Amino acid sequence: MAGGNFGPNTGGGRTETSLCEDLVITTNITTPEENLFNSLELEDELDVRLTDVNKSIGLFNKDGVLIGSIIDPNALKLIKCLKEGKKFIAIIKEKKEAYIEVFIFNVKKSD
Amino acid sequence: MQKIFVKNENSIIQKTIPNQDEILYSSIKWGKIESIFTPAFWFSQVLMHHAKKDTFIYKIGQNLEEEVVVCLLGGFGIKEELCLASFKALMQHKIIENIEKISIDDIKDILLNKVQLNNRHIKYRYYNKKSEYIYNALIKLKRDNLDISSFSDIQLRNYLTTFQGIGLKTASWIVRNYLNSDNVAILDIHIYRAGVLAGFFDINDSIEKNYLAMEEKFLKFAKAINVKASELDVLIWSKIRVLNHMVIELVNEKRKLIS
Repeated sequence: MAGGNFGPNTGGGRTETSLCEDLVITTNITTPEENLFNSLELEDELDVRLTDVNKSIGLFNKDGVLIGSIIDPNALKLIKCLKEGKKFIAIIKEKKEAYIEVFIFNVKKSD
Repeated sequence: MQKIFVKNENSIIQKTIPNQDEILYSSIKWGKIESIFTPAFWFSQVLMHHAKKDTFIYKIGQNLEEEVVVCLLGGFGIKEELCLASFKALMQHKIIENIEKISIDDIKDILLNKVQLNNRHIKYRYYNKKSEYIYNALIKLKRDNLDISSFSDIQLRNYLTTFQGIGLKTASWIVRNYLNSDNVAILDIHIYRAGVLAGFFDINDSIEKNYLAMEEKFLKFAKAINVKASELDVLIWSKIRVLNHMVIELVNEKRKLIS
């Protein structure tokens, strides 16, 4: 487990120490707005933003429309990075009916 | 219903859970799946953990004696790396096998030796108290010589709380690790905050004053969302600390709303 105290919950010694710049997530849009699916294409770029008073991660298309949210195991780390002002984008890597897989990574503000 | 899609190797699994406003039990609502700290969110975290076939290995020691030693070494104020390095040093000196031939000071001397971690030499903190606890625990285990295999998880925990330096939290930690128990919870400030935000703890609940009643609430919550208590415990603990600052703010907001 990462840093901090060796708390009572750790088991066999796992560590999670990644910087925001190194954070890459392959995940799927877990609560998709299914009516927007048809407009999405492979390799489309989505903007990754905080929503719901910083409690959710929304993926927005180029028109600023919310496509869906993600709930990856790294969601809390991604929220922390977004709150720090880091910018992330998501690229659509797979699309199979209601399942849309995205690759999320950090980009410099000027990118 | 709320939908969640999870990729499990090459197949895609779709799960549904009740809508955000539906009651889980009492006044606790499921909440939005994508909204962190809701019951639905924690359910999704366990589900994804399963999909990744990532298993938690709780047991650190080879036997109960070792588990007692490592859990006594760990806990508040001690980093995992230092705990494990100190544990390794104690095991190399065969303190368990030789417990009746050594003294508290012998254990203290081992703990006082600095261990090398990330190019730094670090000394174990709290060596005075912990050497005493470890010595007394190992002597007690040896002299009691009980058939632990016949103990239930709760019986084992009750027995361990009769040891010097072992309270309900440490005893639960040992039992969870040693028996993979889902009948105990390892409650600390992080689990408390998660419970307040998800709604299964009250803001005025106190781990110090009412550990067992809070444990019951935690186990009830795990059962209600149909996940293993041990997995929920470790997932909450490992994840919620990432957003510690935000979590504290949210708990404080909730405290203000109630008062």
